[in-house]
Amino acid sequence: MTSRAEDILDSLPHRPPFRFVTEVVELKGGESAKGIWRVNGTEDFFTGHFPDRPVVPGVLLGEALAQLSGLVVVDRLCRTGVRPFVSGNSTVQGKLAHVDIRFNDTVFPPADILLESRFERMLGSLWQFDVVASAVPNSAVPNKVGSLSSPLAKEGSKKPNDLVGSSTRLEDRRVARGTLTLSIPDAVTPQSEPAR
Amino acid sequence: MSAAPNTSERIVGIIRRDLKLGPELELVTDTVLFGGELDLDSLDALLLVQSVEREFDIKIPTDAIGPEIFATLGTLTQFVEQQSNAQANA
Repeated sequence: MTSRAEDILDSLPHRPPFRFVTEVVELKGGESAKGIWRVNGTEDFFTGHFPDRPVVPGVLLGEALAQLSGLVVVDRLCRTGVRPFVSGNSTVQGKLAHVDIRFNDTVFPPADILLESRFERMLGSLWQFDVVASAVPNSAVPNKVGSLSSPLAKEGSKKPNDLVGSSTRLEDRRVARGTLTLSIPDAVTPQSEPAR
Repeated sequence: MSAAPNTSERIVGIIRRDLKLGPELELVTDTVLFGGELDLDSLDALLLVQSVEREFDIKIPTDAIGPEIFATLGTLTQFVEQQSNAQANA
């Protein structure tokens, strides 16, 4: 993971064991992000969910997608210059306002879960995102910034501040899709498009 | 055979479904969406816009979402009809 990706990830207020984005794979124009949540089956919650049959909780998939969406907020605010990004500090405090996610399939560990979030619209302090989670073979996701196939992907050229790497196609299995809304009360609402 | 629901009836259906309103609450053209009996908040508005977009297969520009459109059920219905016609003719 690049230093910028690590800095962005550290801007989340969440810390282990309640951080569910292991790696930032892509940040694009303050509009979208892709990340990986790696689960190996030893995480504490698998002890009870469920004994002898570990399953990734759907509610944690939603949390992971919300955390990734938080990174889009940080990236977008950085690009608009509304709020300076400070490495290692939590500069944006928000909360989950609404979740509407359909879970299509079950994820069993070990698994790499590809998380995708795309900014949809903003209304006042509310930021709405389209989100998708896909389970991929445990070793299929490269340990570097990569451009992954995406059901949310929009056409567009690479921008200087984007995190987009080599092209890698993954045969993934979509496990969740929907929308979620974050409330970011402290942020001044940027009305203009983010700087590229 | 009953007639297909008009725009207003479809929006009323969305509001009743999304806000989990019972049939006893009357929703008419002059029903105030914010501050009245319904007392929608900004999250309700955001989710209502999303539902309307899906129902009518239209895209509502974020900068068009304002108090004028959401003043009453009638103003929202009028806006949706305008957007539907404009995008159908585009």
